[in-house]
Amino acid sequence: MHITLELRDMSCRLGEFHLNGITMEAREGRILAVAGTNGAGKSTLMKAICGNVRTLEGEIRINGTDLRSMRQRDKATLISYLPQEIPRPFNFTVTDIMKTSRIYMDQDMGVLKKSLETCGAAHLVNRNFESLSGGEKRIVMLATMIYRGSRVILLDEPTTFLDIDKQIRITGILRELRKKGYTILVAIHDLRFITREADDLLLMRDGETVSFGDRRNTATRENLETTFGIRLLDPATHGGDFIPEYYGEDYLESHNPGDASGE
Amino acid sequence: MQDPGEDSNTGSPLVGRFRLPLAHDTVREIIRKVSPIAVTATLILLALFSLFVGPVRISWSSAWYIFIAQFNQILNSALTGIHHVISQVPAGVSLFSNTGSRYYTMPEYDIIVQIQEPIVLAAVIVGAALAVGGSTVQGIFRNPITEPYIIGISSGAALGATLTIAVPQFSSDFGAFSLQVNAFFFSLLVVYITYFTSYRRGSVPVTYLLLTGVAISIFVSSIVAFIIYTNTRLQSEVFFWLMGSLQQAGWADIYLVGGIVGVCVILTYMFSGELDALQMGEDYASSLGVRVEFTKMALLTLVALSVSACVSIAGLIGFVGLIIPHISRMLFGGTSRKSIPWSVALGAIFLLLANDIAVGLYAERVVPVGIITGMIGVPFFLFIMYRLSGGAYHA
Repeated sequence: MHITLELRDMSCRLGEFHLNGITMEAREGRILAVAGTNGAGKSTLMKAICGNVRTLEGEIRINGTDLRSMRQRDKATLISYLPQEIPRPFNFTVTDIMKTSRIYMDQDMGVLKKSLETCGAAHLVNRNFESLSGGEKRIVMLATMIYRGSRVILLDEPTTFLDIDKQIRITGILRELRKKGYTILVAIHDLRFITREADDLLLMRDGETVSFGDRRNTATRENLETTFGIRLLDPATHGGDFIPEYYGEDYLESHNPGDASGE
Repeated sequence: MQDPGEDSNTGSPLVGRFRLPLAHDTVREIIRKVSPIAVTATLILLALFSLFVGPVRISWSSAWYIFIAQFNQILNSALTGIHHVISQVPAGVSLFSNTGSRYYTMPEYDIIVQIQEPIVLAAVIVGAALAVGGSTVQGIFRNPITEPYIIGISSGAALGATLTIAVPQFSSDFGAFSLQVNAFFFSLLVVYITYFTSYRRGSVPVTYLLLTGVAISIFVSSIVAFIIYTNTRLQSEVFFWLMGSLQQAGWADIYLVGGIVGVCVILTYMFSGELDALQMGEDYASSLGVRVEFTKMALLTLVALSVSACVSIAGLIGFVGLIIPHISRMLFGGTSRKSIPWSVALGAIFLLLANDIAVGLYAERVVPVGIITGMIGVPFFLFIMYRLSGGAYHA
């Protein structure tokens, strides 16, 4: 399948945090999950790809063109980035929110409504953004990314803070986008999403790659244990599911709360 | 003004808990249709009315002839100018000539044209600049309780003004305008000290900027307080200036400050899209191609220039920059494309109203308008916030 986004030995720095030699490819019509502990570098990676953080070494290519030679405004037509924080502008309607994503492009109410429809949120179009629930806000922000019109979408923890129903709805929207041929990068902490839903996986720890590749080859017990610093129950005895040992007896005995804080 | 897609508002910010015996949507529709016209009409009528608020009573009929006389004068000076270039154009005409001309010589003419008109225009300009400045600063800081003074404008201007009055060396260069010039440049100076003190690794994080602004403002205010404390003879003079007043404004101030404010407001409006994107978060804005640091610096410079210019002629008029942007957003929506123009109108209305009260309260003296803005502003603001915000400020 067509490779849309390609990183070769990319290194960058954000404050004191370094990201070293990341190599990966994201393909059209596939979901690439970026997983790792808090502070592993997932957000920094996304900021580097969309150009908010300057790369020190290596290449970032989109459809074969080196992104670093591109103006930020032109990159924005190719890549959409949804930061982790839910924005809190003063008294914006959902329409106002979505329009901010195309301040350098023409607005189109038809496309805007269609983007909301794709996310099953057409009824929210004139609502005040602050009056929405956390889940609805996230869904509106996803629609905003679609409205921007770029085919590569970077999502930083789109399901964090959401209830299970909203997590499922977000996953449904991502499936829909995959079907439409978008390239999706999603930083996520949901172990089930990582091991069952994603097509490709980039596992990161301390600013470095643990493993990258097709989910079936990458989501191994060993890789996941290294990435997250946890122990997993044997998948063979749990229907192929990866279940943290937290749910088992030994884990609670071997981890007292004092130890658990250290990463 | 509004595009049709936004008109079928179902969660409108306007009428959150309004309960009237009409259908909810009908009320909302009426308010949305009426607000722009009502605000514009109020501004024009209030400006006209304010011309006549003063110690001298002027009859409506002589006011009419004064306006004709003034119109004739402006028309004639324009025609004289054109006559020099195109000789076919007559050098002067007089409309309503049998009535207008004799009013030039009346004392009422001078009161309206030389005293009242600059004061009214000053209220409009200062109100507009403070409100737009507030809207911009709140957007950049993503913080509803900020106002333009927070980045050091007020304390810097106070320092400039106090030094002019206290230290003779500061007042020599610009003669009668020394105080204004010093207030202007000292406020810009303090803003830039604040800005560059907050600089961290190629960017100016807004939290640093906010805290540095507060800290430096307190520092500079302490210096001002010290100077005033040690020069007891200055106290009443400086005190009056610190409270804010529009009564000293003359046409020279209006041309200069009006020009600065006009240009700054138009340029700020041109950054509407960027300002909205910044409100969504700096990472979001940056990923769209907004040059975040440049935009912040440009917008803060515009705020500093326009508000410093206003402070230099009117002193410290508080509260306008804090509440008017909120009222504007509650009535007309939060995007800068709407909130900036309506802040201009609402800021002007508010300051005109406050100034009329300040002038009209006592026959023999004028209360500093800065005192009035707080007094009438707070109750009005609380009412608007509780009744009209429609949940926009709940979270």
